[in-house]
Amino acid sequence: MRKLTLLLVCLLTLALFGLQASALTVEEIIAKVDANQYVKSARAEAEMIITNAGRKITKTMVSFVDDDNSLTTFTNPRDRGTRFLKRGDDLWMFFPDAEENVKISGHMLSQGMMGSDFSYQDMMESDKLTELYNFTLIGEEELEGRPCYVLEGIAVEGQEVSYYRRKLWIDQDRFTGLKEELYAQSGRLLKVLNVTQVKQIDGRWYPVESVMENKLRKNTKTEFIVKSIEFDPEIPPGTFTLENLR
Amino acid sequence: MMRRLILTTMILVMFSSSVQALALEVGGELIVNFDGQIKEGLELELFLPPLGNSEVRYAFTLDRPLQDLLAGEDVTYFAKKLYIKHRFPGLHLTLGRQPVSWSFGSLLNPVDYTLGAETLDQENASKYTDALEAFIPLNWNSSLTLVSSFPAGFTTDLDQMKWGARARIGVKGYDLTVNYVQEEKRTLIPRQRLGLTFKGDVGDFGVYGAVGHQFATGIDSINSYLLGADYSYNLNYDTKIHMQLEYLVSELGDQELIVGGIGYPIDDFSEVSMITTVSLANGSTVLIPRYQITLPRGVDLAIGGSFTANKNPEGFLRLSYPF
Repeated sequence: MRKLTLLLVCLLTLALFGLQASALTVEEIIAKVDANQYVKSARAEAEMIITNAGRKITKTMVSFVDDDNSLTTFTNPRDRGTRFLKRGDDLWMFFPDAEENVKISGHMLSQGMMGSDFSYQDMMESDKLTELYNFTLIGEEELEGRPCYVLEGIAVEGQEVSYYRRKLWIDQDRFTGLKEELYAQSGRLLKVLNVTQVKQIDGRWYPVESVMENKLRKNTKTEFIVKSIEFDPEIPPGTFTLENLR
Repeated sequence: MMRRLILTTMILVMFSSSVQALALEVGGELIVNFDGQIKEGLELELFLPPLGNSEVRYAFTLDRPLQDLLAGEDVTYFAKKLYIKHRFPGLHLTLGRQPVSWSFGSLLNPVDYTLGAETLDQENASKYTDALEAFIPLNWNSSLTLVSSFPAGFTTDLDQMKWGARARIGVKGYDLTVNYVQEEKRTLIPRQRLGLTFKGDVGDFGVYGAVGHQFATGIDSINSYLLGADYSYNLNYDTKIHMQLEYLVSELGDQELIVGGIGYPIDDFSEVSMITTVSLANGSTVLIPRYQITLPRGVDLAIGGSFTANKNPEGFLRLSYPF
Protein backbone atom coordinates (compact mmCIF):
# COMPACT_ATOMS: atom_id res chain seq x y z
CA MET A 1 0.00 0.00 0.00
CA ARG A 2 2.87 2.34 0.95
CA LYS A 3 4.61 1.51 -2.33
CA LEU A 4 1.46 2.23 -4.26
CA THR A 5 1.08 5.59 -2.47
CA LEU A 6 4.69 6.46 -3.26
CA LEU A 7 4.21 5.50 -6.89
CA LEU A 8 1.05 7.63 -7.10
CA VAL A 9 2.86 10.60 -5.53
CA CYS A 10 5.72 10.20 -8.03
CA LEU A 11 3.35 9.98 -10.98
CA LEU A 12 1.39 12.96 -9.73
CA THR A 13 4.60 14.96 -9.30
CA LEU A 14 5.75 14.05 -12.81
CA ALA A 15 2.33 14.87 -14.19
CA LEU A 16 2.33 18.22 -12.40
CA PHE A 17 5.78 19.05 -13.71
CA GLY A 18 4.71 17.96 -17.13
CA LEU A 19 1.61 20.08 -16.92
CA GLN A 20 3.68 23.01 -15.66
CA ALA A 21 6.08 22.68 -18.59
CA SER A 22 3.38 22.64 -21.22
CA ALA A 23 1.40 25.28 -19.36
CA LEU A 24 3.94 27.97 -20.17
CA THR A 25 2.34 30.73 -22.15
CA VAL A 26 3.80 31.89 -25.45
CA GLU A 27 4.86 35.12 -23.77
CA GLU A 28 6.70 33.18 -21.08
CA ILE A 29 8.45 30.98 -23.67
CA ILE A 30 9.51 33.97 -25.75
CA ALA A 31 10.59 35.86 -22.62
CA LYS A 32 12.82 32.91 -21.67
CA VAL A 33 14.24 32.79 -25.21
CA ASP A 34 14.85 36.54 -25.13
CA ALA A 35 16.60 36.14 -21.77
CA ASN A 36 19.05 33.82 -23.52
CA GLN A 37 19.31 35.24 -26.99
CA TYR A 38 18.37 38.91 -26.82
CA VAL A 39 21.59 40.86 -26.65
CA LYS A 40 21.38 44.29 -25.07
CA SER A 41 25.04 44.95 -25.49
CA ALA A 42 27.90 42.72 -26.60
CA ARG A 43 31.24 42.46 -28.33
CA ALA A 44 31.52 39.50 -30.69
CA GLU A 45 33.97 38.01 -33.13
CA ALA A 46 32.31 35.98 -35.83
CA GLU A 47 32.90 34.16 -39.09
CA MET A 48 30.53 33.90 -42.02
CA ILE A 49 31.10 31.13 -44.58
CA ILE A 50 29.15 31.56 -47.80
CA THR A 51 28.89 28.38 -49.86
CA ASN A 52 27.46 28.12 -53.33
CA ALA A 53 27.76 24.98 -55.43
CA GLY A 54 31.05 24.01 -53.81
CA ARG A 55 32.60 27.47 -53.86
CA LYS A 56 33.30 29.15 -50.54
CA ILE A 57 33.97 32.65 -49.30
CA THR A 58 34.84 33.25 -45.68
CA LYS A 59 34.27 36.60 -44.05
CA THR A 60 35.38 37.46 -40.54
CA MET A 61 34.18 40.34 -38.46
CA VAL A 62 34.21 42.06 -35.10
CA SER A 63 31.00 43.65 -33.86
CA PHE A 64 29.87 45.88 -31.04
CA VAL A 65 26.16 45.98 -30.24
CA ASP A 66 24.36 48.26 -27.84
CA ASP A 67 20.57 48.43 -27.94
CA ASP A 68 19.62 49.73 -31.38
CA ASN A 69 23.18 50.52 -32.41
CA SER A 70 25.86 48.30 -33.88
CA LEU A 71 29.29 48.65 -35.41
CA THR A 72 30.73 45.84 -37.53
CA THR A 73 34.27 45.76 -38.92
CA PHE A 74 35.22 43.15 -41.51
CA THR A 75 38.68 41.66 -41.03
CA ASN A 76 39.05 39.11 -43.87
CA PRO A 77 41.41 40.10 -46.74
CA ARG A 78 38.75 40.79 -49.37
CA ASP A 79 36.77 43.19 -47.16
CA ARG A 80 39.42 44.25 -44.67
CA GLY A 81 38.53 47.60 -43.11
CA THR A 82 34.97 47.76 -44.47
CA ARG A 83 32.72 48.89 -41.65
CA PHE A 84 29.01 49.25 -41.08
CA LEU A 85 27.45 51.50 -38.49
CA LYS A 86 23.80 51.18 -37.66
CA ARG A 87 22.11 53.81 -35.54
CA GLY A 88 18.41 53.06 -35.26
CA ASP A 89 17.22 52.82 -38.87
CA ASP A 90 20.27 54.65 -40.24
CA LEU A 91 22.95 52.57 -41.93
CA TRP A 92 26.39 53.95 -42.77
CA MET A 93 29.26 52.29 -44.56
CA PHE A 94 32.96 53.10 -44.42
CA PHE A 95 34.83 52.54 -47.68
CA PRO A 96 38.42 51.77 -46.68
CA ASP A 97 40.03 52.71 -49.99
CA ALA A 98 38.56 56.22 -50.10
CA GLU A 99 38.38 56.36 -46.29
CA GLU A 100 34.95 57.90 -46.56
CA ASN A 101 31.68 57.40 -44.69
CA VAL A 102 28.63 57.09 -46.93
CA LYS A 103 25.01 56.84 -45.85
CA ILE A 104 23.37 53.73 -47.29
CA SER A 105 19.83 53.99 -48.66
CA GLY A 106 17.17 52.33 -46.52
CA HIS A 107 16.13 49.88 -49.25
CA MET A 108 19.59 48.31 -49.11
CA LEU A 109 18.81 46.94 -45.63
CA SER A 110 16.95 44.00 -47.12
CA GLN A 111 19.87 43.05 -49.40
CA GLY A 112 22.14 40.12 -48.57
CA MET A 113 24.93 41.43 -46.34
CA MET A 114 28.26 41.24 -48.14
CA GLY A 115 26.88 38.59 -50.52
CA SER A 116 25.56 36.29 -47.78
CA ASP A 117 22.13 34.75 -47.16
CA PHE A 118 21.76 37.03 -44.12
CA SER A 119 20.31 40.42 -44.94
CA TYR A 120 21.49 43.54 -43.15
CA GLN A 121 18.17 43.36 -41.32
CA ASP A 122 18.80 39.72 -40.31
CA MET A 123 22.10 40.78 -38.83
CA MET A 124 20.96 44.01 -37.29
CA GLU A 125 17.36 43.36 -36.24
CA SER A 126 17.90 44.32 -32.64
CA ASP A 127 14.31 44.61 -31.41
CA LYS A 128 12.86 41.90 -29.23
CA LEU A 129 10.86 39.39 -31.29
CA THR A 130 7.76 39.94 -29.13
CA GLU A 131 7.75 43.59 -30.19
CA LEU A 132 7.79 42.64 -33.87
CA TYR A 133 5.57 39.53 -34.05
CA ASN A 134 2.39 38.12 -32.52
CA PHE A 135 3.27 34.56 -31.54
CA THR A 136 1.09 31.51 -31.00
CA LEU A 137 2.06 28.05 -29.82
CA ILE A 138 1.16 25.66 -32.62
CA GLY A 139 2.61 22.42 -31.30
CA GLU A 140 5.45 20.47 -29.80
CA GLU A 141 7.98 18.43 -31.79
CA GLU A 142 11.27 16.70 -31.26
CA LEU A 143 14.24 18.09 -33.16
CA GLU A 144 17.59 16.32 -33.20
CA GLY A 145 16.45 14.41 -30.09
CA ARG A 146 15.47 17.57 -28.19
CA PRO A 147 11.83 18.33 -27.36
CA CYS A 148 10.79 21.68 -28.77
CA TYR A 149 7.92 24.11 -28.65
CA VAL A 150 6.84 25.13 -32.13
CA LEU A 151 5.75 28.77 -32.34
CA GLU A 152 4.38 30.79 -35.19
CA GLY A 153 4.89 34.53 -35.36
CA ILE A 154 2.94 36.89 -37.60
CA ALA A 155 4.31 40.39 -38.08
CA VAL A 156 2.68 43.06 -35.94
CA GLU A 157 0.78 45.44 -38.20
CA GLY A 158 2.82 48.55 -38.89
CA GLN A 159 6.14 47.00 -37.87
CA GLU A 160 8.87 46.94 -40.50
CA VAL A 161 10.18 43.38 -40.49
CA SER A 162 12.13 41.28 -42.96
CA TYR A 163 9.66 38.36 -42.97
CA TYR A 164 5.89 38.33 -42.61
CA ARG A 165 5.73 34.96 -40.83
CA ARG A 166 8.29 32.97 -38.92
CA LYS A 167 8.05 29.49 -37.44
CA LEU A 168 10.34 28.74 -34.55
CA TRP A 169 11.42 25.55 -32.84
CA ILE A 170 12.35 26.37 -29.23
CA ASP A 171 14.35 23.93 -27.11
CA GLN A 172 12.06 23.16 -24.13
CA ASP A 173 14.99 22.67 -21.78
CA ARG A 174 17.42 25.43 -22.76
CA PHE A 175 14.98 27.93 -24.28
CA THR A 176 17.03 28.67 -27.36
CA GLY A 177 15.83 28.64 -30.93
CA LEU A 178 17.01 25.51 -32.75
CA LYS A 179 15.35 26.06 -36.08
CA GLU A 180 13.51 28.84 -37.82
CA GLU A 181 11.54 29.01 -41.04
CA LEU A 182 11.02 32.43 -42.57
CA TYR A 183 8.07 33.05 -44.88
CA ALA A 184 6.87 35.77 -47.21
CA GLN A 185 3.31 37.11 -46.90
CA SER A 186 2.36 34.92 -49.86
CA GLY A 187 3.21 31.87 -47.73
CA ARG A 188 6.36 31.11 -49.68
CA LEU A 189 9.23 29.69 -47.64
CA LEU A 190 12.19 32.04 -48.07
CA LYS A 191 14.88 30.92 -45.66
CA VAL A 192 15.56 28.18 -43.11
CA LEU A 193 17.90 28.72 -40.19
CA ASN A 194 19.26 25.69 -38.37
CA VAL A 195 21.20 26.18 -35.15
CA THR A 196 23.96 23.58 -35.11
CA GLN A 197 25.68 24.45 -31.84
CA VAL A 198 24.51 26.06 -28.62
CA LYS A 199 26.89 27.00 -25.80
CA GLN A 200 26.35 28.14 -22.25
CA ILE A 201 28.07 31.53 -21.95
CA ASP A 202 27.82 33.62 -18.80
CA GLY A 203 24.92 31.51 -17.57
CA ARG A 204 22.83 31.78 -20.75
CA TRP A 205 22.41 29.31 -23.58
CA TYR A 206 23.43 31.04 -26.76
CA PRO A 207 23.48 29.74 -30.38
CA VAL A 208 27.08 29.96 -31.56
CA GLU A 209 26.83 28.09 -34.86
CA SER A 210 23.99 28.31 -37.32
CA VAL A 211 23.33 27.74 -40.99
CA MET A 212 21.01 29.88 -43.07
CA GLU A 213 19.69 28.29 -46.26
CA ASN A 214 18.12 30.49 -48.86
CA LYS A 215 15.26 28.40 -50.26
CA LEU A 216 14.97 30.56 -53.36
CA ARG A 217 18.48 29.70 -54.46
CA LYS A 218 19.88 26.28 -55.19
CA ASN A 219 22.93 24.87 -53.40
CA THR A 220 23.56 27.96 -51.34
CA LYS A 221 23.98 28.40 -47.62
CA THR A 222 25.66 30.74 -45.17
CA GLU A 223 27.20 29.44 -41.96
CA PHE A 224 27.47 31.91 -39.14
CA ILE A 225 29.91 31.04 -36.38
CA VAL A 226 30.29 33.14 -33.25
CA LYS A 227 33.96 32.71 -32.35
CA SER A 228 33.68 34.66 -29.12
CA ILE A 229 31.09 36.83 -27.45
CA GLU A 230 31.21 39.02 -24.37
CA PHE A 231 27.86 40.16 -22.98
CA ASP A 232 27.46 43.63 -21.49
CA PRO A 233 31.06 44.67 -22.07
CA GLU A 234 32.36 48.14 -21.39
CA ILE A 235 31.85 49.87 -24.73
CA PRO A 236 33.88 53.07 -25.06
CA PRO A 237 31.80 56.22 -25.45
CA GLY A 238 31.70 57.38 -29.06
CA THR A 239 31.83 53.84 -30.48
CA PHE A 240 28.66 54.31 -32.54
CA THR A 241 29.61 57.56 -34.25
CA LEU A 242 30.79 58.55 -37.72
CA GLU A 243 33.93 59.82 -36.03
CA ASN A 244 34.74 56.28 -34.94
CA LEU A 245 33.59 54.75 -38.24
CA ARG A 246 36.33 56.47 -40.24
CA MET B 1 66.26 51.70 -55.16
CA MET B 2 63.03 50.57 -56.81
CA ARG B 3 64.25 47.00 -57.11
CA ARG B 4 65.07 46.98 -53.42
CA LEU B 5 61.54 48.20 -52.71
CA ILE B 6 60.03 45.45 -54.83
CA LEU B 7 62.21 42.83 -53.18
CA THR B 8 61.14 44.12 -49.76
CA THR B 9 57.52 44.05 -50.91
CA MET B 10 57.75 40.48 -52.11
CA ILE B 11 59.40 39.36 -48.89
CA LEU B 12 56.65 41.08 -46.93
CA VAL B 13 53.98 39.33 -48.99
CA MET B 14 55.66 35.93 -48.71
CA PHE B 15 56.06 36.21 -44.98
CA SER B 16 52.85 38.05 -44.25
CA SER B 17 51.60 35.25 -42.02
CA SER B 18 54.64 35.46 -39.79
CA VAL B 19 54.47 39.25 -39.94
CA GLN B 20 50.92 39.03 -38.63
CA ALA B 21 52.28 37.34 -35.54
CA LEU B 22 54.07 40.62 -34.81
CA ALA B 23 50.70 42.43 -34.93
CA LEU B 24 51.63 43.98 -38.28
CA GLU B 25 49.37 42.95 -41.11
CA VAL B 26 50.11 43.08 -44.79
CA GLY B 27 47.25 43.03 -47.25
CA GLY B 28 46.67 43.87 -50.84
CA GLU B 29 45.70 42.65 -54.25
CA LEU B 30 47.49 41.08 -57.18
CA ILE B 31 45.98 42.30 -60.42
CA VAL B 32 46.28 41.32 -64.07
CA ASN B 33 44.54 43.60 -66.57
CA PHE B 34 44.07 42.86 -70.23
CA ASP B 35 42.81 45.63 -72.51
CA GLY B 36 44.73 44.86 -75.66
CA GLN B 37 47.93 44.32 -73.73
CA ILE B 38 48.66 42.58 -70.46
CA LYS B 39 49.42 44.75 -67.44
CA GLU B 40 50.10 43.26 -64.05
CA GLY B 41 49.96 45.25 -60.86
CA LEU B 42 50.32 44.93 -57.14
CA GLU B 43 48.55 46.87 -54.45
CA LEU B 44 49.93 46.60 -50.98
CA GLU B 45 48.96 48.04 -47.64
CA LEU B 46 50.73 47.72 -44.33
CA PHE B 47 48.40 47.68 -41.36
CA LEU B 48 50.54 48.89 -38.50
CA PRO B 49 49.17 48.58 -34.97
CA PRO B 50 48.09 51.95 -33.51
CA LEU B 51 50.38 53.58 -30.98
CA GLY B 52 48.04 55.04 -28.41
CA ASN B 53 45.90 57.55 -30.27
CA SER B 54 48.25 57.68 -33.24
CA GLU B 55 48.32 55.50 -36.32
CA VAL B 56 50.48 55.28 -39.42
CA ARG B 57 49.09 54.00 -42.72
CA TYR B 58 51.12 53.03 -45.76
CA ALA B 59 49.61 51.79 -49.03
CA PHE B 60 51.09 51.82 -52.49
CA THR B 61 50.67 50.42 -55.97
CA LEU B 62 53.23 49.03 -58.39
CA ASP B 63 52.31 49.06 -62.08
CA ARG B 64 53.73 46.37 -64.33
CA PRO B 65 56.50 45.46 -61.84
CA LEU B 66 57.43 42.14 -63.48
CA GLN B 67 57.44 43.45 -67.04
CA ASP B 68 59.48 46.49 -66.06
CA LEU B 69 61.94 44.44 -64.02
CA LEU B 70 62.42 42.00 -66.90
CA ALA B 71 62.97 44.92 -69.26
CA GLY B 72 65.49 46.43 -66.83
CA GLU B 73 63.34 49.53 -66.33
CA ASP B 74 62.21 51.31 -63.18
CA VAL B 75 58.86 50.26 -61.85
CA THR B 76 56.05 52.78 -61.57
CA TYR B 77 55.42 53.27 -57.88
CA PHE B 78 52.59 55.33 -56.48
CA ALA B 79 52.01 55.91 -52.78
CA LYS B 80 48.28 55.99 -52.13
CA LYS B 81 48.63 56.44 -48.40
CA LEU B 82 51.57 57.39 -46.26
CA TYR B 83 50.29 59.37 -43.38
CA ILE B 84 50.23 59.74 -39.64
CA LYS B 85 46.95 60.36 -37.84
CA HIS B 86 46.57 61.47 -34.27
CA ARG B 87 43.24 61.50 -32.52
CA PHE B 88 43.16 64.33 -30.00
CA PRO B 89 39.94 64.64 -27.98
CA GLY B 90 37.59 66.46 -30.35
CA LEU B 91 40.16 66.79 -33.14
CA HIS B 92 41.77 64.28 -35.50
CA LEU B 93 44.81 65.45 -37.42
CA THR B 94 46.08 63.55 -40.47
CA LEU B 95 49.33 64.55 -42.15
CA GLY B 96 50.81 63.05 -45.30
CA ARG B 97 49.61 61.32 -48.49
CA GLN B 98 45.95 60.46 -47.95
CA PRO B 99 42.68 60.06 -49.83
CA VAL B 100 40.53 63.17 -49.66
CA SER B 101 37.14 62.04 -50.88
CA TRP B 102 33.87 63.83 -50.32
CA SER B 103 31.62 61.12 -51.74
CA PHE B 104 27.99 60.96 -50.74
CA GLY B 105 26.83 57.87 -52.64
CA SER B 106 26.43 59.23 -56.18
CA LEU B 107 27.97 57.94 -59.41
CA LEU B 108 28.96 61.49 -60.39
CA ASN B 109 30.08 64.09 -57.90
CA PRO B 110 30.28 67.70 -59.12
CA VAL B 111 31.32 68.96 -55.67
CA ASP B 112 34.05 66.52 -54.66
CA TYR B 113 37.28 67.90 -53.24
CA THR B 114 38.98 66.76 -56.44
CA LEU B 115 36.65 67.13 -59.40
CA GLY B 116 36.17 64.28 -61.88
CA ALA B 117 33.50 61.66 -62.34
CA GLU B 118 34.22 58.55 -60.40
CA THR B 119 32.32 55.71 -58.85
CA LEU B 120 32.92 54.77 -55.27
CA ASP B 121 34.62 51.48 -55.98
CA GLN B 122 36.87 52.76 -58.75
CA GLU B 123 40.46 53.65 -58.35
CA ASN B 124 41.21 57.28 -58.97
CA ALA B 125 44.73 58.41 -58.25
CA SER B 126 43.73 62.08 -58.09
CA LYS B 127 41.97 61.68 -54.76
CA TYR B 128 45.23 60.65 -53.08
CA THR B 129 46.96 63.87 -52.22
CA ASP B 130 49.60 65.27 -49.88
CA ALA B 131 47.57 67.07 -47.27
CA LEU B 132 46.93 68.09 -43.71
CA GLU B 133 43.41 67.29 -42.61
CA ALA B 134 41.69 68.36 -39.40
CA PHE B 135 38.50 66.49 -38.55
CA ILE B 136 36.35 67.98 -35.80
CA PRO B 137 33.40 65.82 -34.70
CA LEU B 138 30.38 67.80 -33.50
CA ASN B 139 28.00 64.98 -32.61
CA TRP B 140 27.53 61.37 -33.77
CA ASN B 141 26.69 62.30 -37.37
CA SER B 142 27.89 65.89 -37.70
CA SER B 143 31.41 67.13 -38.21
CA LEU B 144 33.64 69.79 -39.67
CA THR B 145 36.61 68.88 -41.89
CA LEU B 146 39.35 71.30 -42.86
CA VAL B 147 41.87 70.32 -45.53
CA SER B 148 45.00 71.96 -46.82
CA SER B 149 46.65 70.06 -49.66
CA PHE B 150 49.75 70.48 -51.74
CA PRO B 151 49.10 69.50 -55.38
CA ALA B 152 52.61 70.59 -56.40
CA GLY B 153 54.34 69.11 -53.36
CA PHE B 154 54.84 70.51 -49.87
CA THR B 155 55.25 74.28 -49.92
CA THR B 156 54.63 77.33 -47.77
CA ASP B 157 53.52 79.34 -50.80
CA LEU B 158 49.81 79.88 -50.18
CA ASP B 159 49.12 80.28 -53.92
CA GLN B 160 50.32 76.76 -54.58
CA MET B 161 48.17 75.26 -51.88
CA LYS B 162 44.60 74.03 -52.16
CA TRP B 163 42.13 74.59 -49.32
CA GLY B 164 38.88 72.98 -48.40
CA ALA B 165 36.27 72.91 -45.66
CA ARG B 166 33.34 70.58 -45.33
CA ALA B 167 30.55 70.61 -42.77
CA ARG B 168 28.45 67.46 -42.45
CA ILE B 169 25.14 67.59 -40.61
CA GLY B 170 22.59 64.86 -39.97
CA VAL B 171 19.02 66.13 -39.94
CA LYS B 172 16.05 63.77 -39.53
CA GLY B 173 17.67 60.89 -41.41
CA TYR B 174 19.17 63.14 -44.09
CA ASP B 175 22.90 63.56 -44.58
CA LEU B 176 23.59 67.17 -45.53
CA THR B 177 26.98 68.58 -46.44
CA VAL B 178 28.21 72.06 -47.26
CA ASN B 179 31.69 72.47 -48.65
CA TYR B 180 34.07 75.09 -49.91
CA VAL B 181 37.21 74.59 -52.01
CA GLN B 182 39.85 77.06 -53.12
CA GLU B 183 42.02 75.58 -55.84
CA GLU B 184 45.71 76.39 -56.26
CA LYS B 185 46.37 79.55 -58.26
CA ARG B 186 47.56 77.84 -61.45
CA THR B 187 44.28 75.98 -61.90
CA LEU B 188 42.39 76.46 -65.17
CA ILE B 189 38.94 76.39 -63.61
CA PRO B 190 37.49 79.12 -61.35
CA ARG B 191 39.50 78.98 -58.15
CA GLN B 192 36.69 78.92 -55.65
CA ARG B 193 33.85 76.48 -55.32
CA LEU B 194 30.86 76.14 -53.03
CA GLY B 195 28.98 72.86 -52.83
CA LEU B 196 25.89 71.47 -51.19
CA THR B 197 24.82 67.81 -51.06
CA PHE B 198 21.96 65.86 -49.53
CA LYS B 199 21.15 62.17 -49.22
CA GLY B 200 18.21 60.44 -47.61
CA ASP B 201 15.19 58.26 -48.18
CA VAL B 202 11.78 59.05 -49.62
CA GLY B 203 9.65 55.96 -49.16
CA ASP B 204 11.49 53.02 -50.72
CA PHE B 205 13.77 55.27 -52.77
CA GLY B 206 17.15 56.62 -51.83
CA VAL B 207 17.37 60.20 -53.08
CA TYR B 208 20.31 62.54 -53.29
CA GLY B 209 21.50 65.66 -55.00
CA ALA B 210 24.17 68.31 -55.20
CA VAL B 211 24.57 71.94 -56.21
CA GLY B 212 27.95 73.38 -57.10
CA HIS B 213 28.88 77.01 -57.67
CA GLN B 214 32.36 77.80 -59.03
CA PHE B 215 33.47 81.39 -59.06
CA ALA B 216 36.44 83.71 -59.36
CA THR B 217 36.86 87.42 -59.77
CA GLY B 218 36.81 88.61 -63.37
CA ILE B 219 35.25 85.51 -64.93
CA ASP B 220 31.76 84.11 -65.19
CA SER B 221 30.74 81.72 -62.48
CA ILE B 222 29.87 78.12 -63.28
CA ASN B 223 26.99 76.19 -61.75
CA SER B 224 26.39 72.45 -61.57
CA TYR B 225 23.30 70.55 -60.45
CA LEU B 226 22.90 66.85 -59.76
CA LEU B 227 19.77 64.93 -58.87
CA GLY B 228 19.74 61.19 -58.33
CA ALA B 229 17.79 58.28 -56.94
CA ASP B 230 18.44 54.63 -56.22
CA TYR B 231 16.07 51.74 -55.73
CA SER B 232 16.11 48.00 -55.22
CA TYR B 233 13.53 46.02 -57.17
CA ASN B 234 12.65 42.83 -55.35
CA LEU B 235 12.60 39.94 -57.79
CA ASN B 236 11.12 36.71 -56.36
CA TYR B 237 11.56 37.95 -52.76
CA ASP B 238 15.22 37.20 -53.10
CA THR B 239 17.12 38.68 -55.99
CA LYS B 240 17.38 42.43 -55.71
CA ILE B 241 18.01 44.42 -58.84
CA HIS B 242 19.78 47.58 -57.79
CA MET B 243 19.13 50.67 -59.90
CA GLN B 244 20.58 54.14 -59.82
CA LEU B 245 19.70 57.09 -62.05
CA GLU B 246 21.27 60.53 -62.10
CA TYR B 247 20.81 63.74 -64.00
CA LEU B 248 23.72 66.18 -64.11
CA VAL B 249 23.76 69.56 -65.70
CA SER B 250 26.94 71.56 -65.49
CA GLU B 251 28.01 74.78 -67.12
CA LEU B 252 31.57 73.46 -66.92
CA GLY B 253 31.98 72.15 -70.47
CA ASP B 254 28.22 72.55 -71.06
CA GLN B 255 27.49 69.08 -69.86
CA GLU B 256 24.01 67.64 -69.58
CA LEU B 257 24.20 63.99 -68.69
CA ILE B 258 21.88 61.22 -67.70
CA VAL B 259 23.69 58.33 -66.06
CA GLY B 260 22.02 55.10 -65.14
CA GLY B 261 23.38 52.06 -63.40
CA ILE B 262 21.76 48.67 -62.96
CA GLY B 263 23.13 45.61 -61.18
CA TYR B 264 21.73 42.10 -61.13
CA PRO B 265 23.29 39.56 -58.74
CA ILE B 266 23.20 36.19 -60.50
CA ASP B 267 24.17 34.36 -57.34
CA ASP B 268 26.33 34.90 -54.27
CA PHE B 269 29.46 34.91 -56.41
CA SER B 270 28.62 36.71 -59.62
CA GLU B 271 26.89 39.82 -60.88
CA VAL B 272 26.16 41.56 -64.15
CA SER B 273 25.88 45.31 -64.28
CA MET B 274 25.57 48.07 -66.81
CA ILE B 275 26.31 51.77 -66.62
CA THR B 276 24.85 53.94 -69.35
CA THR B 277 25.79 57.56 -69.92
CA VAL B 278 23.73 59.70 -72.27
CA SER B 279 24.91 63.17 -73.15
CA LEU B 280 21.90 65.33 -73.92
CA ALA B 281 24.23 68.06 -75.19
CA ASN B 282 25.61 66.05 -78.14
CA GLY B 283 23.39 62.97 -78.20
CA SER B 284 26.19 60.48 -77.58
CA THR B 285 25.60 57.35 -75.57
CA VAL B 286 28.16 55.16 -73.82
CA LEU B 287 27.28 51.67 -72.62
CA ILE B 288 29.58 50.03 -70.09
CA PRO B 289 28.51 46.43 -69.38
CA ARG B 290 30.39 44.40 -66.79
CA TYR B 291 30.29 40.83 -65.57
CA GLN B 292 32.15 39.82 -62.46
CA ILE B 293 32.55 36.48 -60.77
CA THR B 294 34.53 35.12 -57.87
CA LEU B 295 36.24 31.97 -59.10
CA PRO B 296 37.37 29.07 -56.93
CA ARG B 297 40.34 29.92 -54.66
CA GLY B 298 39.11 33.48 -54.29
CA VAL B 299 40.23 34.86 -57.66
CA ASP B 300 37.98 37.60 -59.02
CA LEU B 301 37.32 37.86 -62.73
CA ALA B 302 35.72 40.90 -64.32
CA ILE B 303 34.93 41.22 -68.01
CA GLY B 304 33.50 44.33 -69.54
CA GLY B 305 33.63 46.88 -72.24
CA SER B 306 32.77 50.33 -73.38
CA PHE B 307 30.52 50.83 -76.39
CA THR B 308 30.03 54.19 -78.02
CA ALA B 309 28.30 54.91 -81.35
CA ASN B 310 30.76 55.57 -84.22
CA LYS B 311 33.70 54.39 -82.13
CA ASN B 312 35.44 51.07 -81.90
CA PRO B 313 34.30 49.19 -78.81
CA GLU B 314 36.82 48.77 -76.05
CA GLY B 315 36.95 45.68 -73.89
CA PHE B 316 38.74 44.69 -70.76
CA LEU B 317 39.42 41.64 -68.65
CA ARG B 318 40.63 41.88 -65.09
CA LEU B 319 41.83 39.12 -62.80
CA SER B 320 42.55 39.97 -59.21
CA TYR B 321 43.41 38.13 -56.06
CA PRO B 322 42.92 39.91 -52.72
CA PHE B 323 45.14 38.65 -49.88
